[in-house]
Amino acid sequence: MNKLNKYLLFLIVFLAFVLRFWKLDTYPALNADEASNGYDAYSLIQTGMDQHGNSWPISFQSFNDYKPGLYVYLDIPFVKLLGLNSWSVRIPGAMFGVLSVLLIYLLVKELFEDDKFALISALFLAISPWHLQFSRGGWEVNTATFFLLAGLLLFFNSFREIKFKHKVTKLVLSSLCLVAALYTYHAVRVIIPLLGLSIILIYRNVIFKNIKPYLIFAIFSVVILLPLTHDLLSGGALSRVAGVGLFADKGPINRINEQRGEHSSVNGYFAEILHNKFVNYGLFFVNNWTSHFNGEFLFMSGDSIERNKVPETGEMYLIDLLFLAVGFIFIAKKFNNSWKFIISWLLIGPIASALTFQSPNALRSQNMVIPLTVISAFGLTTILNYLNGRKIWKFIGITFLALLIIWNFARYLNMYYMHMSKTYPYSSQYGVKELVEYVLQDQSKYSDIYVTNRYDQPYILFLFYQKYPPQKFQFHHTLTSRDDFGFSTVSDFDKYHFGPIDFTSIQNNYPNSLIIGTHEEIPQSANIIKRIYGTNGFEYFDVVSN
Amino acid sequence: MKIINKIFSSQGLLLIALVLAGILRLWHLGSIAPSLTPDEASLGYNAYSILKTGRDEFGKSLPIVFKSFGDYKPGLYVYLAVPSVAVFGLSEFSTRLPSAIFGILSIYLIYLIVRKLFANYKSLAIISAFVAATNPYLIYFSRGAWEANISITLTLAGIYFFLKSLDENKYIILSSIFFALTLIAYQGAKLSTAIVLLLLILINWKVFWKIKLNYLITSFVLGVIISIPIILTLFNGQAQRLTIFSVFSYPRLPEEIQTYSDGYFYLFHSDQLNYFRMVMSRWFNFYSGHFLFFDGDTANPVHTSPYQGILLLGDLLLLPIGLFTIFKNKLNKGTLFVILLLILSPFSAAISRDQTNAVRSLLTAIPLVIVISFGIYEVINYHKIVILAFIAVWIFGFIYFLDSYFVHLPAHNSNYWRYGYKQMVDYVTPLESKYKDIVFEQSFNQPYIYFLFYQKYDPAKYQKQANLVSSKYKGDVGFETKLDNVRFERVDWSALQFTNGTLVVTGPTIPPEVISRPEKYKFLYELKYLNNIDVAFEVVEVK
Repeated sequence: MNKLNKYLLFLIVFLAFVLRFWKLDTYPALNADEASNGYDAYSLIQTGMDQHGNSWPISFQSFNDYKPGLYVYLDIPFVKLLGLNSWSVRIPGAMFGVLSVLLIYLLVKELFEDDKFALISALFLAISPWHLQFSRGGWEVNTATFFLLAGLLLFFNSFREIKFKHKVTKLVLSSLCLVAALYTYHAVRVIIPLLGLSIILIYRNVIFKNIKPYLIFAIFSVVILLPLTHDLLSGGALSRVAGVGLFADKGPINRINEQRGEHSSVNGYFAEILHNKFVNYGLFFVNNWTSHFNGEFLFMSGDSIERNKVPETGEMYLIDLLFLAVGFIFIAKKFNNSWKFIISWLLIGPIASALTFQSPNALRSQNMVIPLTVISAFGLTTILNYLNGRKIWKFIGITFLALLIIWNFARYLNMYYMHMSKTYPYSSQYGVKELVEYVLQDQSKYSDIYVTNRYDQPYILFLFYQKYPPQKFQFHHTLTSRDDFGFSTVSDFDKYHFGPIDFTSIQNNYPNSLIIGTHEEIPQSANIIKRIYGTNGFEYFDVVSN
Repeated sequence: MKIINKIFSSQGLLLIALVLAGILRLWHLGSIAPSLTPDEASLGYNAYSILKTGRDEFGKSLPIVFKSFGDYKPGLYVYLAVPSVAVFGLSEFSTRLPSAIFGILSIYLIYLIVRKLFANYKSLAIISAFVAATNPYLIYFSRGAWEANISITLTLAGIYFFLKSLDENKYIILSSIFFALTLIAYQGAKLSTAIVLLLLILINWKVFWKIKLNYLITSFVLGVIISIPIILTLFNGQAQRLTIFSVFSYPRLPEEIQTYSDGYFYLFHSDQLNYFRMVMSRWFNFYSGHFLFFDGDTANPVHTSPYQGILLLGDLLLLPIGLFTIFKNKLNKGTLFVILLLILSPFSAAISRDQTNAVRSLLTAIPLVIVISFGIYEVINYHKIVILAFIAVWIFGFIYFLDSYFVHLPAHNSNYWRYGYKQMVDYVTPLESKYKDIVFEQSFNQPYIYFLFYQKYDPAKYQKQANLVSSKYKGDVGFETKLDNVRFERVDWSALQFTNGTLVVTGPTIPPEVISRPEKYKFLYELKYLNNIDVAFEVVEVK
């Protein structure tokens, strides 16, 4: 690696840092899941138990969705150091995002031994809309992707070690990282075993020539996975997975009935062979899987869930289409083991997401960003190599490509910072911070405070922003029973009550209360003492003193 | 042994492919799809009218562009249907037969083109004949009076003779004629034919200009002469219907534009960029698994069969393998043509307002078939067990398609196919003399054309009374309001209650005040769609 490249790598990582940390605390607003992770970390520090009183859990009960727990533990030092606030909740995610940029550089270098290619990969990941979206915030998935990258890097690196001891050390470290990913996020629990299988298949010659260290790797991994296995088999985590799983979707079943009904003999041999659960769920699954390769998803509009996306922006830039196409063409010409691995990763990447019924889903398939970035970077590298040595074309070509990349990136920044919170004002919990700060000023005046539950899980944000003492909360609340999507919430703690605002009934039954509702829930003739606006200028709440 | 050798010779296999294609395109052609669309009925009746009188339904003598519903259909299909209507009489089958025959011809032309483009790949041509014969996209549009299908066959002929002309120059004239005829076959052919022609010339740039000048000039002049009637429609307003279907006729709302006045409007949010995004997004939709394999053209359910894409499920594996095989080797003129055609041809659909539009992008069936053939070409070298697995997946996908088309389409999509008009005409016709007035629900389905078609209404008699009321919307289709004592109008019960002795044929929505007065309204008949659930028509007599 020459000196110039070192500077370039430093600049790229610095760019990654700026893009991930700039206005990290406020943009976008903190959402309920992040608040829950942060508050659980806070609660563990204070009491050794999570918000619901479970001591040092492996999965966090949270909204009864049993979040995989490692992120909360990684967050503990930051909450301890910086206190409970948006920064401390988000720094680990952003930090692992920056480190992932470094890791992709190392991984590409490890696999392809090409410095330029590796640098471009790092640059592309640094500015990737997909990677940025989930780096900016306390998203478990991004941390899992980091551990996955680290584990794979160490695993491939172990191929180079000749001494048994060194090889085993690297493999044990690799195992630790991969297992850490499994403790961090659901989707990788499907992806990593499949990636493992594909690695065994692709590198069978290397692995079976000297199998002993890999057996140690396998045994070690199994051992450190035991607590997770135990937790999954005994806890409520599986029910959450079932709640979003493909089989929770009744569409395929209804379709079976419809299709069999259209056959002349409904219970005929033919109707049953062609239209049954196996076939229909299979087709839904494969359809979901292919949807992650839709151009509309990748290059135009991204995920359909607002929280996971930037308006009018795909998971990648439109210009990536060109680089990916060139990349694929030249991969076909040189289909070595490293490419076999990258391609198999690309194919495996969306499988976990396809097993759920909201597809395509950028969150659950985020690991795809790595193979896609690598292929796209390979495309640009190939183009640059082609241009090299053609004087005038080199100049025109590079200028043209640079302008396109910069324009794509600039439009992304424009959309992210100037439009996202206005176009999707309900994608995150905007306005709640402002609300809690206001309520805290004079809550002592009221005996009851009624807050609308129109926006996701308000209780956790009230706990979070007022740093409510966990010991006072843990055993003094009840979780509601699960809703259709498998989530629970807390509707009462202290003097707070969360629910739909039936204004007149609350007004009549609870004198001396504070009523907080959305603009639509509050009659404008009421005694509104404050209107709460989010950072994006939207009016979110009307506060009524009763 | 000799017989077996003969069967497996390329002629033998080609014959099998053609017979297979024939069976898949002709079997139950008249009854599946279950009914004629208004366009099909119009093409059929105009052919009948030409046959009997030499004039179209409006009395125009041998037109090249048919006014029809005011959409001005290029007329080649009508003339192709004349002999078939002459032989088989006016029926669904005879109306659809030209498309089916052209669909079978396509298989042979694809075989010829692939043999010419990829002489080095032995057996690729015969593979592509089988792929084309069993391809859902091509089968679907061969089974119905789809003008686009005629246009594809002509395009294939144009491509074949173009390639041939590079060796034997005189064929360029034939090529030009076929390309020009595509314009007379189908409205949407303008862009796709231009794409094909441009690609062929660019890819064979040097060889093309070595063609003898007099051949080039002759073919150019012939091409222009044939396309003149179509070129004229661009100026006399008859092509206005295209603007309704164009994506560029649907700008953003002012409120939406307002949100983007952030000081960077021209850099990041301009109208041009917005249209570009809309076109790209439709272009991407074409390549989605949703469209290609699983759901098909959900924006136009009449363009695909239920829960079936334009390709077979097995092609999900073969298509990427085919691309991989093509790119593994150095690109040559043939593969370059196929790849560029694959990229460019969906644009004819991408500029349409619909999210997907299978009929407009039908040309893409050709590069898809060839890429899939490359996939098979590669897979036959794999391990035996892998091949068996591929065969199993392929067979499942093929049966799934046959089931979707022949079993599910009639039941599931009969409403989209405008099922019921034939039955209603058959029901009403014997009653026409019994009632003073018959009111038939007016709709975009153009009920009058079904009366003409199924009554085999004397064209000479109709031509005198044809009176298409044009739509108040520019470029939209018009309406026929009256045929003898049958009036086509929006059923208005408050006015009808005073018209004793009227027969009313209406859609399924009957207001309660009609149902609650059996002394006034007598229900005579109810027709359901083929799913046996939804009602298509009700017949009521006003006493």
